[in-house]
Amino acid sequence: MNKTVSAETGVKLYVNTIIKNKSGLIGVIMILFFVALSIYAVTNFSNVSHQWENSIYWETYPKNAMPYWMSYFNPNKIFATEAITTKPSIIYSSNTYDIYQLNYNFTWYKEMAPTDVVFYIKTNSPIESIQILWIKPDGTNITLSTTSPVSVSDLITYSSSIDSYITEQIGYVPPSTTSQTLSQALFGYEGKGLLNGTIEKGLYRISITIVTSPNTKILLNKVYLEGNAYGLFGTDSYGRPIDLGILLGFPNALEIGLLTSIISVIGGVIIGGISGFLGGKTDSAMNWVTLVILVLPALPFLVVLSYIMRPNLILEALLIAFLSWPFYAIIARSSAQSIKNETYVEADKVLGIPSYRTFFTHFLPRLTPFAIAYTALGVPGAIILVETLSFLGLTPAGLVTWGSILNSAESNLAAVNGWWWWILFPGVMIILVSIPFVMIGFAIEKAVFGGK
Amino acid sequence: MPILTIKNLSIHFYTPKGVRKAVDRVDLELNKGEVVGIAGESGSGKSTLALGIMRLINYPGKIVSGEIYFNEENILKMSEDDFNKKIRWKKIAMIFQGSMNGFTPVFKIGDQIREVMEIHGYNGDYDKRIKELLNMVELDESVANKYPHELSGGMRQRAFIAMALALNPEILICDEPTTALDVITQAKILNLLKKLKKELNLSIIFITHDLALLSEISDKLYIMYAGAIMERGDSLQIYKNPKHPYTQLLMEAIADINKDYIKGIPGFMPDLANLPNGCRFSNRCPFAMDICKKKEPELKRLDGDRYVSCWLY
Repeated sequence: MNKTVSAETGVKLYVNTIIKNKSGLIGVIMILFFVALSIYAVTNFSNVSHQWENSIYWETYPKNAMPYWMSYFNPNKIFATEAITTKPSIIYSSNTYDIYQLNYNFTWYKEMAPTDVVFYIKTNSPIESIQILWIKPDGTNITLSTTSPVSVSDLITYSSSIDSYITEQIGYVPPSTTSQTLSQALFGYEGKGLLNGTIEKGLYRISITIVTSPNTKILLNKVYLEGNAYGLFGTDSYGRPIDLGILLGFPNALEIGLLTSIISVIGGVIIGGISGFLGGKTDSAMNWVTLVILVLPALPFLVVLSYIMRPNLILEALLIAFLSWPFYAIIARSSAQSIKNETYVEADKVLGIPSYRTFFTHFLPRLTPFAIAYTALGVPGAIILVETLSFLGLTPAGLVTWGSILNSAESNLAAVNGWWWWILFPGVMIILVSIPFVMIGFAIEKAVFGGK
Repeated sequence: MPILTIKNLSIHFYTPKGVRKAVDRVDLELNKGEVVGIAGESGSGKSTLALGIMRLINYPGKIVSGEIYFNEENILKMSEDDFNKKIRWKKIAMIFQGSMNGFTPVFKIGDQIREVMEIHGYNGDYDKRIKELLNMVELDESVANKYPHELSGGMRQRAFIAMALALNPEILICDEPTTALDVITQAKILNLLKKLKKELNLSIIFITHDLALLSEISDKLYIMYAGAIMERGDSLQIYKNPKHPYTQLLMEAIADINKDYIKGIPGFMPDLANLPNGCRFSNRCPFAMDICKKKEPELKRLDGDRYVSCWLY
């Protein structure tokens, strides 16, 4: 009989009560899933997070692409990026320079031109000159060239060549030279209606001629026909995939949320507990300090502090914890005041147990269930506060957070431009990650304090 | 030579309404192996007296005068540390009305008894002693591995008695130890205390408002009213022949199955902050005379061990 009793205590008891409760079980499963995603993100994409702010890294990705699953609704207008590659052939070699030729063929049957075309040629020494011959299905062709050849070049790089081609065809200078317009010029019928949106369907051929210093090798070559759909959640204006950003935001959100919640609950429970336990003037003084910090306006305060201190993740957690412990201290204090008058606390005095010992062994254990429930319930608040700060542009350095994704969405006018995926998914994630903690918190609260 | 002697002990509470004299010039003697009963109605200062012996009077209360000698050593003159090290729980232990709730709900009984032993530096085998103690209070040894909520009120009270006996104290102060229990359990606890008294040669101060219960166990009896001793003497003599009008009325107030109503004492106990000039019982006393309202009676010795504080004698 004793064994069954002892098995029902401690951590096991908590796990059991949480799992027995349906919402608790769902919460646990969700958190395990989130943790798995975080581990996956940390182990596989840690180098990506360093490149998050580096726009060159994302050059080959489509910009402002909507989620790929949108193409099921309109496969001819919404499509993913296609990458084509070829075997380079050397057509001239001397001891002063080499000339390579890369020939690509592809067929295009979609109703829309790609949003951009990116040429990616990775060599082991700089390219000295590059010339691209673009042949449309009907045989008409354009020559693209640039004065500053680079290994990754999109249509903007060749805008002068394409602009003059457009001007030649339609008779005036195009009003704007976005990559979409430039791409349309490469895919439209030659003539006055070059930019009217019709697409020449059929076999396209691209012939790229590059001049390099001798003994240069072409390590990789690709032509990306950029689509307007990418991945699960689309991409942003820099080509950064939103799904990757969300994945990278997971460990940060969980880490900072849990850390903040744990620090503030432990701090609050100990301070509130001591305050309620001691009573008298100490209590009044501590309560006064608690209330003063409680009434500090958290967000403006945090904005100023974050701006001045530029904190890292741990410091930011400490800052938020510093502003949120009074909530828990006040609740802990009121519980402490009632526990203080319990007979067993008074009995400890009779028994001659020192009061510090009474506090830690007989007093705090009564506050632990409360502390655990509020730790779980405090995580969403902490996460939301961190994401809010990120949204305001105060992301801890080098971190990808959902708030920072929303921040760039806001500054790039995503809402005005209708790039809903850039706003919706990070926003939903913030809510989604909060749900399991609330569910578990309620499950514990119910187990500890009773109720429906 | 008594093991515990209280001389002229006064404990006052300094409240905004005035100084409440919860214990007023009380003398008490406790001999080895003797049970002293202290009886009186609620608020008469019985528990304050007990807490005074344990030096547990907190602000705004204060021991204003008097001496408490334990084996000729004044425990009120000791430093707090000395008292904790030498006297508390080692020489004088205490159980009280709520002591069945005196166990922290989150720890096992055995661990809590062990903690007390550790704090007071018991040397010996803890486990063996805990088993011994539980046997002593007629509890199963497995109780040590149980949490307080798994035990009944009576069992918890016994467990607390076991904890009180952990360090072999010489004096056990029982402050209404059975008040919250049903009569059967009361009887069991009482028999247990009697047995322990005999086996361990314990001296017990037994505080209760239940005179019937007290008659079962006490050798000496002290009747307290409004902070002062009204009558003291041999238990049996007081039961047979109560002298003080308050004692007489108290005896009549004991529930009796042959009577169809319980006779109470009309009126209320005076405000401890504002005691009347004369005898403190004069406003309720059916025999009150002029002098009773003017001058406070001394605790007069009648014969042998019998003292009464009344102008009638």
